[in-house]
This record gives sequence, C-alpha cells and structure tokens, in this order.
Amino acid sequence: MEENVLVTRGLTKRYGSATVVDHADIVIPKGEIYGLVGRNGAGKTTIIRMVSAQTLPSEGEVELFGNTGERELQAARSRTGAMVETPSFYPYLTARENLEYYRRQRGIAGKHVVEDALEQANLTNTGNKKFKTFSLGMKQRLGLALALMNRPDLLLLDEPINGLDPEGIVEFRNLLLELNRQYQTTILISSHILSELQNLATCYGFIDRGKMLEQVSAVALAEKCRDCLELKVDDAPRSAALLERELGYRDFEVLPGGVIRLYEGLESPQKVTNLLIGQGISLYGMDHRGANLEDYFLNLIGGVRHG
Amino acid sequence: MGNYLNAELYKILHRRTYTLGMLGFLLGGEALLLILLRTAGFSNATTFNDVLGVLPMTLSMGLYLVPAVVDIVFSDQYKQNTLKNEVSYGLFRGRIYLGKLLAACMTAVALCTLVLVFYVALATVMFPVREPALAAEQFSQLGASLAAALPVWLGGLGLIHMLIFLSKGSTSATVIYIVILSGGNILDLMQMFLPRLAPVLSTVKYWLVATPMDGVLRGVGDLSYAWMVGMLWLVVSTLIGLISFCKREIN
Repeated sequence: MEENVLVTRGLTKRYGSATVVDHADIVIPKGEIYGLVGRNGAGKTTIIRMVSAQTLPSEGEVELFGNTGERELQAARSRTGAMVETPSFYPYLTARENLEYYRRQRGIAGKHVVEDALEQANLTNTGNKKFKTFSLGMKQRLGLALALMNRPDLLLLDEPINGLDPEGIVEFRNLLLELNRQYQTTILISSHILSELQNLATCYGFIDRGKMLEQVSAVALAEKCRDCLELKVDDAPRSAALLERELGYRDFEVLPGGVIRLYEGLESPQKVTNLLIGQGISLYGMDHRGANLEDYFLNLIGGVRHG
Repeated sequence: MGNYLNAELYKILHRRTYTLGMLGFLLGGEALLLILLRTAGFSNATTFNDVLGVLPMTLSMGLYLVPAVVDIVFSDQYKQNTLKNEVSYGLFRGRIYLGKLLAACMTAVALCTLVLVFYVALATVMFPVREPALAAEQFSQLGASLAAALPVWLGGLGLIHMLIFLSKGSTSATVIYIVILSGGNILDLMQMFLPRLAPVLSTVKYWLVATPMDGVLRGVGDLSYAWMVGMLWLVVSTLIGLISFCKREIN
C-alpha cells in the first residue's frame, strides 16, 4: 500500500545558466493537502510542471505512487488531475464539448462523467457556451472540472483560485476539503493567497529561489506560530519556577540563551514583569510574538527585502 | 490509440465553422468550375469525358490543401496551450504526435473521397456521357493518378505536420512548407545561373516531395517513384517531428 503519493528527489531545472529549481526534495503522504508556498518566480509552477511532465527535469527524479520508471510514471499520471497556470481549452468548442473531447481521449467510460464534472464545478448552465466567451473565473472552474473528471488520486493545482470571486473561493475550498475527506484525494496546491492556504493545507512546503527551505505539518506550524510573550532573562530556570509557582503558568517553554516563551497570561504582561523584577531577576527584553503563515514565510526568507 | 483518434475526430466534426467552411470552399469551387465549363462558349461540345479528363490535372491541389487539413486537427495547440492537458494526463508524446498525424491522414482521405465523389456525381448530372467506354478508361487512369498522388500527399502531410509541431505557429509552418514545395522551381532557376551544379541540383530536385506530382499531372505518374519519395518524406519527417516533440517544453 503506497504511503507517499508524490516524492521528488533532487529535482532540478536549469534554463541555460539559471537554476530555477535547485535539488528540491518533496514528500507528500497520501491524503495530505500540501500547500506549496513561495514568491513569484520561486519555482512553484516549475516543480508542478515537472511533476506533470510538461517540463523535463535537468536532474533528479519524480516518484508517483511508488513509480519512477518512465513508462510507469506515464501510467501513474492517469491517476492525477492537473490545473497548471491558466486553464487552456479549444476556444471554438463549448465547455461540454471540450470535456467530452478529453473524456474520449482519456478513455473514461460514461458520458455522465462530463455532466458530473460540470456540476461539480458549478458550470452546468454554461455547458453550451463556447470557451472563448468564458470569464477568467469560469475558465478556472472548467480547468478544475477537467482535473476532477477522472477522479484523480492526486490533484496538482497551481494558483487555482486566481480569478474566482469570494463565493467561488469558498465553494472551491469546500470542494477540495470534501474530496480530501470523502475520497482521500491527495492535493498539491500552490497559491499566493496564503490566508486561503491556511484554511486548506495540512502540510506546507516553503520554497525560495528554487530551493526548498522547509517542509512542515500544519500542526507543527501552528505550534511555531502561536502567540506568545518572549522574555529574555538572566536566570531562565529560576524565572520558570517563579512563573509556575506564583502565577500558576504551565504553558511555556525555556529556550537557550535565557529565553522563555510564555503562551498564557498574554493579556496581563505586567504581572510577569512585576513578579520577575520583584524577585531580583533581570529582564532584558519582553516581546509579544505571533505569526500567521505569511509572517512565518517572510521570516523564513529573511523578512521583507527592500530594494 | 483508438481513444485518441476517437477524440480527434470528435473535435474535427465539432469544429463546425472551419470544417464546413473548408467543405463549402472545395465543393463550391468544384460546382463553380463545372458551371463555368457548362456555360462557357463551347458548352455543347463539353462532355462528361472532358470534365473527367480535367481531374488528374487538379490533383496537385492536394499538396496545397494539406496544411488546412493538418490545421483542422492540430488547431493551434501551441497558441491555445492545450497540449499540457494531454501531456499532464500521462499520454505518451509519441501517441499524441502519431495520433494527430493519423487523424490528419484519415481526414485528408475522407475529404478527398468526398470531393471526388461530388465532382463526378455533379458532372454526371450536368454533362452528357457520350462515350461510356472512354469514361471507363478515364476512371482507370484517374485511379492510377490517384495511386501516384496519394503517397505524395501523405509525404506533404507528414512534412507540414512536422513543421507545425516544430514551429511556434501554423502560419510560419505553412510558409516554410510552401517554400519547400516550390523547391523544384527554385532549383530550376538555380540551374540556369549555376549550370556546373546542374547534376547536384537535379539530384536534389529528384528527391523533393512535390517532384513526382509532375508526372501525375501529365498523366504519366511513375507509381514506384511516387511511393518511394512520398513515403521517404513521410517517414523522415515523422521521425524528426517525433524526436523533437518528445524533448519539447510544453508552455
């Protein structure tokens, strides 16, 4: 039974002397929603394009459902659905005809599949409109319909919510969560809208300038991003004992260098300062910290760079 | 491959404006030609045999119509960026290339059959058949001409198919294709100015895809020569197209 749906090892892409993706190692276990986070030009789309065979890697390997050989990989890709960059279809065909074309090409049995896909993407009433008349949001939906048509085990989504209105974003999110819940569909999704990723992803990969910086589960990330009071003291063990004995605080961690992170009592920091100073402990600094995904990512890449 | 062909033919049939437009152009052109022959000065003298005799001379048009047929199938896939949908599903690039080539071949043969049948049927209605025996002989000659023209058309089809896959758009591919088709005339001109190179230029001209069509137009098509040159162009262009497409970035 496969544990990891997608694994990349040393995945690299060069264009001339420019290395766009630099030895990226990614592991996506079955059933996870993997959020790929990075700035414009970081390499997110290139990674997804290499996984979906639109671009050939310069180095490294892709493993899909445990398969690495070229023939096996090609066969494994029939278990994936991809939406990379702007969805592309034949402009002179209607939505229904476009999907029917791909249904026949892929040998997916049952004409109802097309209607089901249109319904899932909320495009049933637009089935007879030619693709060239579609708005960006409708194009995104049709792209999603195509990606879902073969009931994929792995969904590759590159900036899928671009062009969707707020209602569409909510529908899209709910659809992905339902697919993940009901069918254990594994999802790799890249997005600039980090707040939306936070509502979806169960694990994250951070990429910058082609290099994978970190991979972390959503639970671990939430732990790292918790609000806290960060204290710098001269005697951390004694300070910790005081916090617990005098104030009853237990939710804190003692870090090297005299740093204590306190996760409770944040609403009344003066109690902490009065206690420590009153007991003769030198308090060098106190800082209220907390991060969302955006803050975490910016800290990871070294903060906001000014030109 | 069956599924792939099924899908391509579905797409062709649903590309109504282009397909019907092309059919209208071809069939309408034929009807116009026959009407002109019927209503021209020698209308009483023009017979079914006369209009049938014109057919072999028009077979070279097939070489110039082939880009339109390939375009119906290929449908500006680079411009529309639709190849990524096929590649990302895991379809082998070889299947994509060969599938579209086969669909184009089938479409070309179907169109050719329709055009010829329409021409003969309309001619039968519009012109008197005065010499049935001659007509039978003409049909036989037409069959021989078609047998020689077919491989040349297929060679041209393979060439334009390769060019469309290699280049950025169907327009530039078509321009290059027309230049190659005109190669014989260019080489004839070069021979006038470079007589010392005549043997080399003649050899090159011998192997050009359009050269066997000269014999077909004169009704003296060399069947083996036409098949040799046509199939050579089809095979070589398909190999080159396949190899380069397999390495191509889809973006």
